[in-house]
Amino acid sequence: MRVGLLHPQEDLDLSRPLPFAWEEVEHDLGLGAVLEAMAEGDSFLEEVARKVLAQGLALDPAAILYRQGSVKEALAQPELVENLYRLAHKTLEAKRRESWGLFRRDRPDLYGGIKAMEALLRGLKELLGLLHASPGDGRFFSPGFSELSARLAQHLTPRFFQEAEAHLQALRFPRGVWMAARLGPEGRGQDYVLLNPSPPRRRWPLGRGPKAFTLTLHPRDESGARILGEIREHGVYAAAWALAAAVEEVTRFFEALRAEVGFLLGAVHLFRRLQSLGLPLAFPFPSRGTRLAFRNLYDVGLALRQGHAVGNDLEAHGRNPILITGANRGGKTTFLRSLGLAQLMMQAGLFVGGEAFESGVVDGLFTHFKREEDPALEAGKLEEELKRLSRLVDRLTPAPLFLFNESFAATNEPEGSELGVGVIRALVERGVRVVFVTHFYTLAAAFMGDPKAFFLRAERLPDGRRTYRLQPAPPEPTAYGQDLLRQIFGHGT
Amino acid sequence: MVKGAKIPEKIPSLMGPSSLTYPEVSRPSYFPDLHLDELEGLLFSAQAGYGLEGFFRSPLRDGASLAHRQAVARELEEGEASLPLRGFLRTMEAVRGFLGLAEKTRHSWQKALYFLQAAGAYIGGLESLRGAWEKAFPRSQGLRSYAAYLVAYQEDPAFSAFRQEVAEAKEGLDEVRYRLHVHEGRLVVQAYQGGEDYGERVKETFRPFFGPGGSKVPRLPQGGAEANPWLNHIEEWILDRLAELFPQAFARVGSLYQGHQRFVDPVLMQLEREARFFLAYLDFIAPLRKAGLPFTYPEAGENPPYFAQEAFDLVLGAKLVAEGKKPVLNDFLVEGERILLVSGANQGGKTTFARMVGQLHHLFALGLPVPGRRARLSLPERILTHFEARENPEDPRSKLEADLVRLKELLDQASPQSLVLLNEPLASAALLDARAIGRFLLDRLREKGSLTVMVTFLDELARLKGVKSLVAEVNPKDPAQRTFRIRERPADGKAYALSLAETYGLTYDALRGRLGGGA
Repeated sequence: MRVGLLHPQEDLDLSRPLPFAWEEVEHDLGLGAVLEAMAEGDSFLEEVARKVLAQGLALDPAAILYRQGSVKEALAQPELVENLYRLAHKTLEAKRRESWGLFRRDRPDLYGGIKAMEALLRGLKELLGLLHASPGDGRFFSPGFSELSARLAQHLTPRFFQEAEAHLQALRFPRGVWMAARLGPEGRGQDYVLLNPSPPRRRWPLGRGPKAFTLTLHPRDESGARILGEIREHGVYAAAWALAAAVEEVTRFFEALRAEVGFLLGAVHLFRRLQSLGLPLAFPFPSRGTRLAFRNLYDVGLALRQGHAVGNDLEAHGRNPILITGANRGGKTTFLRSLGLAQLMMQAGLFVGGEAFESGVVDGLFTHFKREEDPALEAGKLEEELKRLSRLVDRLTPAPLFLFNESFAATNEPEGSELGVGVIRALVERGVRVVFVTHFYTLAAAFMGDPKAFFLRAERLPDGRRTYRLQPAPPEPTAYGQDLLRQIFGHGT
Repeated sequence: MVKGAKIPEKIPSLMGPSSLTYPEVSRPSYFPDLHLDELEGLLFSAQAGYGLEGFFRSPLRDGASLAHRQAVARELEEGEASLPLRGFLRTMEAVRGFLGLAEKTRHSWQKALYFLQAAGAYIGGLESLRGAWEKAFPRSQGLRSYAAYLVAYQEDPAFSAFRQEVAEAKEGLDEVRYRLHVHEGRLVVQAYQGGEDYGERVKETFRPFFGPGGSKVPRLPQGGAEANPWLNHIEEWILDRLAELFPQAFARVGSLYQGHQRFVDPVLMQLEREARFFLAYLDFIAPLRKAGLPFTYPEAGENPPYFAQEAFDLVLGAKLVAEGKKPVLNDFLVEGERILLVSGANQGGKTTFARMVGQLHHLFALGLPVPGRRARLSLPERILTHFEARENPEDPRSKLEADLVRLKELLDQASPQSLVLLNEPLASAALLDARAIGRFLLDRLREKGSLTVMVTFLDELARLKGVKSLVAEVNPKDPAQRTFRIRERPADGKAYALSLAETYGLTYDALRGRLGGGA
């Protein structure tokens, strides 16, 4: 049975691998602070949040909106989400205690399956109770919660519980095991089928039933007893497997429930943290293509670390590439992060840090940030950058967003610019959305004739102060490095 | 042989146009020098008992057989032709396996059942081979001859009758279905009377939790008892009771066993053996091809030019590919001079080059594809090698003396149709002697007209008449570094000035190429 709180068609699958170079994306965007805020110290929640953010890159706008519904429902009923999370956790614990590994040998363990299923059935009953005890009496406004509630009501009928419990009794085989078999090619039974363990007793009106042979083992025939046990196992196997499979599937349901509710709980945590800082939050509008516009978008990670953050506005629909130039320490990197984080959070179905955000969905997020560390490797730095970029290019998805931060700065301006221009052109022509931060005037200026290119510049007031805001403006031939020099060394004024 | 099956007058073969016999052949003396003994082991050690080594040790002397085999090998390199044959090989293995089990089991009903499995596998295998060959009829004469034989064999009434009996015996057994009840040390067996699958009912109850395609939990193999091919005493008891409950079905199986003891056809066994020879080699080179190394079917030439392009030592190549590396590819060309003299750096690949030339000729003479992009070779009458041998302390003669004796024998056998490979034949002589002996040797070989590759450190010999000079190259910028390239003349310095970005495929053009264009 689907949980379906996060996606209309499928459940969250935590076993899916993270996208290529995800650690770099996490590091470059400063995603760690966001994950911590969502987890509040629960390592499982952190893992779930990470996976959901990474897997959001596979969603389409409709699925994102569906998930937004569940997030909104969770923000409206935080206690329900917390209770569901605890119930899923508790039930999985109980199941684990009863049967640690149903498939641990070459055949499923029937008795362990019976005990585990008993624990799961208790969990399912409690789950029904929790949903009904919610303020709307099992009724919800989001499609995710209402459909889950309806599915449970449809299948978890009193009759279901009755049948399930009857099976758990019958599978203890008080009257022996009946089974049917075919003759295998080497003279051994095969295709064993378990027959009803409590069949109605048949009467043969003429006194004699069909021909039957009976073998009664000698009490000391130990190998015979063992073999008989094996034959019995063949018959029981199918039922034991069916039960074990059912246990696994119901367990999977609770695991998915724990993960999906866990993500929603993380969303509640994050929302509360940002709200307490007095920062604006908005549900974004996921669209298609190269749409991009926002109002007062700030870097959520920076806000969580510093308690405040400066927002930016932008309207760049249909524009690609976006080239960001301007003063050092003028907020270019922060801007890039705010954009990357908002894209990720939007695609995961979350709210974003800002007053409004619209963007076309992408199927991959790639970051290529200049590496500050390892000054000892100066000589090979460009090579390291190229190697890293080449690996990313190998794994490029069909319609990704690619964020560059001061790439190719390890070499001089003419060379680095030529390289950068070539890379951007090739990527854009292939349909990759590119946002490129650079202090190379030559690089950015190469796109000045391109009507699709969009230029942003970090603002610098005439007195040299930074506002940390970016304005639509073409590149200038200076990056005001002297400002910094003046500021730090105080000479030249 | 199926009783009464008729044998065609002409026996088909993959090995040559006329039927050949293959006696056990001892290893040619040049095998160790050319690492062909090692290659033989790599190719056939997994298929011991089929006598495939005999084929490998018998290079062809006639062009017709060569063309016959090249056509077979070419066709088998295409999956379409080799897949059916691979299936046939598996069939024959299965048939042999079942017959072995039938022979060993002590329970008479189980004997008959294993025999039935062998017969069933045999018939099924032959039918699918015939079916595959009818769909894609073989082009090569070798495969066509077997295809025609197979049709005649299966059309034979004796085979049809056999097939019919096997089918009926199987059908009878398929209908055997019974019921068991196990409870507290008692086992009851009787014919099946109906009753539903209770496991399914359990599953049905929990169906809502299963995904759309049922459970994702994998079905597990049922227990380990099946690993034992022999029945235990309870299973024997059940089988004997079933024979009483279903007497007709069992009678058919029994009479099949009595009536057809030796049904495997000897001609098809020969097909199996011949196919194994080709496939063992083709499977050995397949991963090398996949790694990008070239193979070719050389053109047979009566007169020069002889050449090979981008060839390599097959044994070394296989080792390198297994380590994720690749061998250096080398060329040679014989036009005017028939003596190729290889000098140059130590450890520069000279010996490997000489060995490669020898391997190419031997493999070519087996009718197999050889390592290389393109080649034209002569079919040597014999291959004569003298590779520096380890000194034998038992030998009373000096090393030089022993070497010279061997060289004398070699020269006596050499003819214009021979391939002679000499690897540092004068290493044990003093420099002055070596020059004189070398000169003498080369003069003799020129007179004989044998195609010769000689590896030597005496580069002045390269200036003799009738000798072409090849040199093992070093990197001109770093002479300590070997390139393992053997060139007709020292190569010029190489240009290494590739930009870093190009190396990583990140220039505009390179990147466009990698990204496949796009909008």
